[in-house]
Amino acid sequence: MAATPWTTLTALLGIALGVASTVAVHLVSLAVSDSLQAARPPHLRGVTHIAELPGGGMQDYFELRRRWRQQQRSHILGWPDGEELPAAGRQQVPQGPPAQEEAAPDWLREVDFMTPVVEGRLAAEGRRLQVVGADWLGGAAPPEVAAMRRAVMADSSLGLGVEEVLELRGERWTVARVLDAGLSNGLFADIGNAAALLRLSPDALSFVALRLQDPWAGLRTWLERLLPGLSAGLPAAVERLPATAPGTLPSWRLQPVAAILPEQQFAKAILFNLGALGMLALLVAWFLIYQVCVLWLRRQETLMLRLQAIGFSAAELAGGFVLSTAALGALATLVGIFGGHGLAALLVRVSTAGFDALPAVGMSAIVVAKGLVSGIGVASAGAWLAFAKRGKAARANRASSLARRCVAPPWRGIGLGAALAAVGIGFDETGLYGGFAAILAAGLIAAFLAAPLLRLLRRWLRRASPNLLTRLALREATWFEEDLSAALGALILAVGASIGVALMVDSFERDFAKMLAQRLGHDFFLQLPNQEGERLAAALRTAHPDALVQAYGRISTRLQGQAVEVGYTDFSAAESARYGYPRALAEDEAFASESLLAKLGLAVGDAIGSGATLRIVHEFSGFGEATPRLLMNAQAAARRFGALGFDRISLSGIDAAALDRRLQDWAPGAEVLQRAAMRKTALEIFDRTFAITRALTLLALIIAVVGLYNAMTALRLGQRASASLLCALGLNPAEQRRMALIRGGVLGGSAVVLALPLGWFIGFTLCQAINPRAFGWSIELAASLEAWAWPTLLGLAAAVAASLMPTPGEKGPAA
Amino acid sequence: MRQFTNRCLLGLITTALVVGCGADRRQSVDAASMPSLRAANMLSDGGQGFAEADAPRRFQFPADHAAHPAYRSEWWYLTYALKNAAGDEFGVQFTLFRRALFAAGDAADPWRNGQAYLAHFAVTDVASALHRETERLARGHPALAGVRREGRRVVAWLEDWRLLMAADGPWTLNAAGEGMAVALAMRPSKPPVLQGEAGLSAKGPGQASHYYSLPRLRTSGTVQINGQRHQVSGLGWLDREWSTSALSPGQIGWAWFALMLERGDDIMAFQLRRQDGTRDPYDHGAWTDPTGRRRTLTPADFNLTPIHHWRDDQGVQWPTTWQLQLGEQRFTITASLNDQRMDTLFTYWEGLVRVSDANGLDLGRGYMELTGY
Repeated sequence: MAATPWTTLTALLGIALGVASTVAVHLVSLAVSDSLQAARPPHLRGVTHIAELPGGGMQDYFELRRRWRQQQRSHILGWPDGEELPAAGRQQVPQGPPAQEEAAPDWLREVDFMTPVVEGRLAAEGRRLQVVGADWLGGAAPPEVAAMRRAVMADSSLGLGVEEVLELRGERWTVARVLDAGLSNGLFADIGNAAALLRLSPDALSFVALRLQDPWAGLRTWLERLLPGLSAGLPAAVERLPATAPGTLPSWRLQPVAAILPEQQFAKAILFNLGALGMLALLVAWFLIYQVCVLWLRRQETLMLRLQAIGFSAAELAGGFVLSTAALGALATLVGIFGGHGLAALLVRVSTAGFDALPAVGMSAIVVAKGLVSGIGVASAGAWLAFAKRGKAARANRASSLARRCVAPPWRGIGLGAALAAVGIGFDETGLYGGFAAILAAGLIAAFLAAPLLRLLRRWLRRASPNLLTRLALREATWFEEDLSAALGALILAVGASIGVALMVDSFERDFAKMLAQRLGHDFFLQLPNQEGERLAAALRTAHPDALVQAYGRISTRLQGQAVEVGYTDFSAAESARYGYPRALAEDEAFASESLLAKLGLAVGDAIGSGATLRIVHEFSGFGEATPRLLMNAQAAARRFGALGFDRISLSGIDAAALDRRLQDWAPGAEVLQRAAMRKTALEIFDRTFAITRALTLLALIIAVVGLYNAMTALRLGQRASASLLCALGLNPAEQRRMALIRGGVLGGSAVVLALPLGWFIGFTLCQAINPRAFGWSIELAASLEAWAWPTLLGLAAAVAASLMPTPGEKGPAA
Repeated sequence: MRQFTNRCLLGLITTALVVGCGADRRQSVDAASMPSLRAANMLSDGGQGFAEADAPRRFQFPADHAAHPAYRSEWWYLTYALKNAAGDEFGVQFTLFRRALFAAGDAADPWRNGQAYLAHFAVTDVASALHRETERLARGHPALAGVRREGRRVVAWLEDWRLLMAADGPWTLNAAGEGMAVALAMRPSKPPVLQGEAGLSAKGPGQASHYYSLPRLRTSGTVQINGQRHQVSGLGWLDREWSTSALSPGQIGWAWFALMLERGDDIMAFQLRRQDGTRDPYDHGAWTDPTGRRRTLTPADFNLTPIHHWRDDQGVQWPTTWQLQLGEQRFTITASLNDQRMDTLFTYWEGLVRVSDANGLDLGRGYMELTGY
């Protein structure tokens, strides 16, 4: 290590970068995941599903509960009808089939706990409060408010303090706790109190919150510990359960809790994607670490031979080598863990800039363990494998061995990987795991094709007989494919991932900008603090008859158990055009977001809702919208949901000064946004969203470049003798630089040849499989030149730079 | 061999990941971010607006088997020492706690009547060294939990767990959960024993409860545990207590014993645990002979000394063997199974015990409760 400080330093840097990327991805995911958990509404904490019964009441809930207890009793006692044990006298076991055959599958048996929930809206203190009540004593962790007479828990969005007193329905209610519950204007009370606040009868019921035993629970927990968000790709437990309870019960509809927490599901999908990309960075890092081991061993070849000659056994040499690599790994791990923590803090700051509360970036034992595995574990394993391969090669004649191994690329592995990729993309049922497994398989295929590519190059050198300089430049690189293939594989993976991610981001940005251009059709946009938008719109129209004024409202509801945001306005032809629809909406027509149609299994032309149904006439992209949306005319919405408010207005044809004057008089609390500012903000948020993604792919690229530089350095040092001979024969420095340039260019070019199709494949998978599965929207893959060019040029430049860069301060291989 | 060592190395990496996962025991956000209602809090502290147990009362049965909502808390505590035909021993505990969450609930609104019920159910199978426990918590909504007088009988229920106390005819108890179930029929064989001073059991200055027991409930029925169903018979003990007060400052728990000797004597004794380790002057008990004659036990009449401890997996030392000195008589009280800890909302130890004399001669069975450890 001391004899080759520069190589040692670059190897250390490579491993440290690998560890840092692993640590950073984990910590960022952990910070976001913790924020998400804390933001879950209290009545849904620990809940996995909700059960709804249209038109059902509390008596139905009690019957459901009675059946649940009966099921439990039947299960314990071993007979089907839930009869009790005979209390006295001779035992009389009720007749019935044996326990194993007793009952049809029933989700009731999977229930851990259930609690009824009522919810509704209450206009008070100038706000529309969302009141939620649950029987907290029937839940997982009863909060203190369960034991208080007139007490509520308030969402932090209300800006209330603990002990503050609210005047609601003529009674004084105390705020017992303030929560960041993720429910805007949310008040949480015990079920009786909530029903009283909402003027509901004690028999009212909105839904039943349940926790079902999850067969994946163990795996989910481990995956979340390994990388927060990783379990989002697992199927929800509901998929294997019937939608209704059999027997005498009415048809309860069971939904995963994600259906009413779409924001959480959305954020989890982002986390999953982040984690999966992080895994790619990890893979590149592991490639690099292994490659460092191979080179390290090659550097010590002379020393090994001498030690062997004086009587050291192969096992002793292997032990010493593994130990020295592990020592380097340990140091790099330490640097990587601290560096990763700093990087995570930086990434969180960049991606959440402008937000009030930043997620805290902490440290955890699993992060340290992952760092250790990547740094010390993989370095040790890599060292061992490298040594094992060296022994194998030593036993056979190197050239003939190489010739034998030239047989063919690993077709079986490639075939298997291709099949995996096809299944992952072709079947939506494979979910996010399928999509990322496809990317991983394709990435590994491309990376493992690096060695065959070098062999092809060697063959080409033999056949084509290029000029002497080219032959000399490429001779070592193609002959010692072991040394270079791992570095080249990592570079292929990194460049491919960069191209793929850039293609996806560019395509997304293009579609997003198109959507913004379509939607931001007005000059100004007003966000009102109340629901008086219609009154204000009428006043503005009267004052400015030439202006275009449009009032909008929205309401959160559930359709077929799925949380939906219903947006309403007067959908004239001009308004419909903002969504790409050519005419005005009729009373019974609606637009649905792509995610809503996907979640409800509907298509354009289908009807939606019970009773007064709506026909879906158009589908629109809801980029960035966590909650699926349904858009309809205001009258249609009023018919379904009762009296409605309007809290937003868009305007055109009024100058800013006049609007400002009007608002000072009529709506002093209104927030005014100009079209250009809105567009800028939206695009900024877009950029911030992908800041972490870009940073991770860049990190993977940097790691790969360091790896390639290591490999080139080893090659250069290996060629020192022949280079001296060539110098003696008259090779001048310019020709030496040309040789390096050719070597870097050809190797970089080879990597790019494989990275290009890989990049396209990754981009395609992200746009067409991952995005629809994770967020419910698909993106049209655009062949953006910039997305192709930058990673390609960067990869080529990196390879050339690695080849040209000198190796300062080193005298030669350790001996 | 090389392949084997390669696999070992990969195995080591996997192990490191797994160990790392196991080590990451961060507190769950659910638990950390929202302070839960603690059952221990539910069963203690102040009681403005409630009646106080400050003088002996005239007990009337079956009326007093029913609830006393004027008081803040109350319980129906049933413990059983049972055997099957093969002589295998079983212990059963069923407790229903009632707690008024606040005074002046809205009687017309079933969700806002202010009553909450907590039930603990446990079975001990001595031969199989098994102890299982479970609990339920519910609001006093009639469809969920309550205690109601129906003519000459009183029914207490928490969903399908049900205790029926009839003035004439057998009592019954049915409960099932966590892989165990009981269906027991019982008949009182002795009149109620009024504990303390005519049923007013003082626990400290100004702290008292109304307290009576029904020892020696002749019991038969079925116990199911671990997939095995047993026809059993034996004796049960009911403790009924209601009050508004809590423990006095300095008192941190208690050791309580209900012992039924084969010769027909029944002994209830409890020793309050003080923080400073001194004997509490409010310790008391009652000794009832086979004819039903009762003698109050004052601190001077008895002494309870722990002589053996069992350490649980949390490192808590539970005194599972005691010596009871009662005048000239010395009894050894030994847990039939060490691990009869109740892992419920609040942790305590409650279980079947064996009573023997100084020579180890088996004298009877009973139940022991240890709290505040």
